[in-house]
Amino acid sequence: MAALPKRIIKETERLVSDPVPGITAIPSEENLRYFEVTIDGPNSSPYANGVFHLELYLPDDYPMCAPKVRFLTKIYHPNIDKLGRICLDVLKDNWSPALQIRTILLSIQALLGAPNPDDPLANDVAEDWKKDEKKAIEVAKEWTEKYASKKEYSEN
Amino acid sequence: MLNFDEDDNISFEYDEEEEEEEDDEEDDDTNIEADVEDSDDDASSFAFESDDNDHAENYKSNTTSNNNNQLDTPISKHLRDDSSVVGCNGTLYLPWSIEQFIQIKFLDALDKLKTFNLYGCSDDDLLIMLQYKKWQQEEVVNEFFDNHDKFYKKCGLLLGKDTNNQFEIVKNFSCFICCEDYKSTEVYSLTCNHQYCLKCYHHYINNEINNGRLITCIEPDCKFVIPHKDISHMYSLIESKHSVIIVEKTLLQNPLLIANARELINSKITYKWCPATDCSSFTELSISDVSCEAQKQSDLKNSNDISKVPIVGCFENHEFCFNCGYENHLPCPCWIVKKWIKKCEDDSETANWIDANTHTCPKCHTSIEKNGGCNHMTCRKCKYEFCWICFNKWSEHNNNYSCNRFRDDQKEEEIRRNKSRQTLERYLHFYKRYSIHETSMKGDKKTLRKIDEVTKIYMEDRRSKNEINNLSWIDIEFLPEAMRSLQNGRKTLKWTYCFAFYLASSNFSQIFETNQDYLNKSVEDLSEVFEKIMDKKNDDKVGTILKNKIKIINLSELILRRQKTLIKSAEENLLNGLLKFEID
Repeated sequence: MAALPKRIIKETERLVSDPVPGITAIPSEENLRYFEVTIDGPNSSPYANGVFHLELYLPDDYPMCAPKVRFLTKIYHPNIDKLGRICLDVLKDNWSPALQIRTILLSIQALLGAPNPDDPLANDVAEDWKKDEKKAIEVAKEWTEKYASKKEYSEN
Repeated sequence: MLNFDEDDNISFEYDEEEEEEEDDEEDDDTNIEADVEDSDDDASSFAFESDDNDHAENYKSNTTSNNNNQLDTPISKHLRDDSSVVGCNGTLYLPWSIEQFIQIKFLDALDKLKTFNLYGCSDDDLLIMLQYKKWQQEEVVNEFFDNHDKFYKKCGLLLGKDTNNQFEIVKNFSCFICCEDYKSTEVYSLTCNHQYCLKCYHHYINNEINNGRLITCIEPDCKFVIPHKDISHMYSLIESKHSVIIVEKTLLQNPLLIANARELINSKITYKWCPATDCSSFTELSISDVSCEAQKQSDLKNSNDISKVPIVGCFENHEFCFNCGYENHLPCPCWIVKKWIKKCEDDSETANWIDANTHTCPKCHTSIEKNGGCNHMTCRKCKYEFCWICFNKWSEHNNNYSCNRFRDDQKEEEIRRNKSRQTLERYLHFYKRYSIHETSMKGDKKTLRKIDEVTKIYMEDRRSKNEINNLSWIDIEFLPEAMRSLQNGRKTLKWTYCFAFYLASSNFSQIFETNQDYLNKSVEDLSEVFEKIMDKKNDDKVGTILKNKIKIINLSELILRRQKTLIKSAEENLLNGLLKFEID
């Protein structure tokens, strides 16, 4: 494998030395382009108190291309589908090389705080969300407790 | 011969202009382009305005006067009259090159827009506005007067201030994108002053360019748009990194305009790229009514009427089918071609081979190919021992070979296997010939290219020695024509095997085969003549060419005639039902 670009080394160093509150990103030992990520659910959202696991991969042409990010923890959210794929503009068309791993993870955290059922990825969830937002939020809370509670993870 | 675009409008930033030009002229076999260019280069510095004007003038002056008396094909090809060309099946089409497309659809629109004298707009601004409005200059004008301020903003342009885009060399620069610390490096910035190193900008643009949008500053929320001129300049700088001279790209070679043109061409069904390898030109089908055309195309799907197959030519004279996008596949109708290609690609014949040449183990059903003489078989996989003749357990033989007695029930199995074998052999027969001609086509191409070189070297050599009895272009004018007819003849021949594979046998299929034989003969004859010319032992290659001139001309005409006859008779007999396809 080609040497790791300086950009990735610097970003990794900073993620470790100056972590973002509520977010951890640890590079895998075998592949320094692969990160194990956790994001805490935002306090005022149905995902509060949940810890969500994600994987993040920096493709060969990073930073010219966006990192590939996916939820590993099950989550009930209109912009995140069954496979954990995320619909977020900065991961697609609006990616800019000036963005970073930390900014992307912050954007994802913000997405948890502000679901957008009008631009859905998981159509069924988005529909529920629009029909009966209260109920949908209840389900999201339930799922968070069931799949994303800290206790649950430590047992696994 | 046709790479005239490369030297079109070359301009240089430094003073070495003179030297480089001469080099160019020598390299080029048709030096008219260089002649035309001479006048251009004097006027054009890096300034993009003059560049563009020059080209427009150049292009116009050529339309009006044909001032190049010798060999004017490359240039006249570069022009356009809007009359369509008629293909061999009566299809109306227009061959295009990408440069022509950029010139006519983009740069001519720019010229027209300039006549409106939109206040405060530089050429850079106008190009950005045009690309934003998908090259509709009327819309730019409307938007400019109706929604002036908003339009500026949408285009990422600065209102009322001069732009301050800069290429500079900065000392002790750390680039925010690659995180490299440079002692001194070239950086680029737009009016917003967000500076990044040139390498990162180049990477970034390379990535962004293919989605056909305007490209903004790297900074995520910064909407300033990079002008086309700067993109040209950036690519020129990067590409000539190791040389002293920077060959400035013209607008015709502008990467963003090229990408934009490609995107527009891809998005319209009336354009199709030429399928030939290394050919970057495309063809426009001249049709008045698109929905009618769509109907026609769906009709073609199962039609045997090969007179309707829309064969078109490209800018480089390659023929191809506008419907299926393959090369000229006459005499085959499009749907047969599709079936054949699929068959060649899939594994159906592998299955037939296995069926015809292997037996399965009676116990575990693994396919076994017998490679020795003894009929006492032991399956490698399950260790089952059996007799290859009767497929019973070997131990049951007990010294008396019951398998030698005839048993009726095995007949059916045998028939099926025979049928598999026959289908396979039939397919292989046709496929072999099909692929042989495909390879031969490549071989011919190589020979032809060599001949082309030899004649060129010969002529240059003679000219430099000032010999009087030099070859003139007129003497070997017949060569390209003959080469083309050899290539096209082989192509038709190749497709006749696909045709014949699906053809039901009848008296008329024999006529088809006879026509095929005739064409085959003349194609091989001509190919042999060319091969002989290029034989290593042949010292006087040019002499042999001239000696065989009549023969070559005759053979190439014969090929053309036989090719036509074959296709015509196939067409007629398919229409009146005398030739039929048999599809299992």
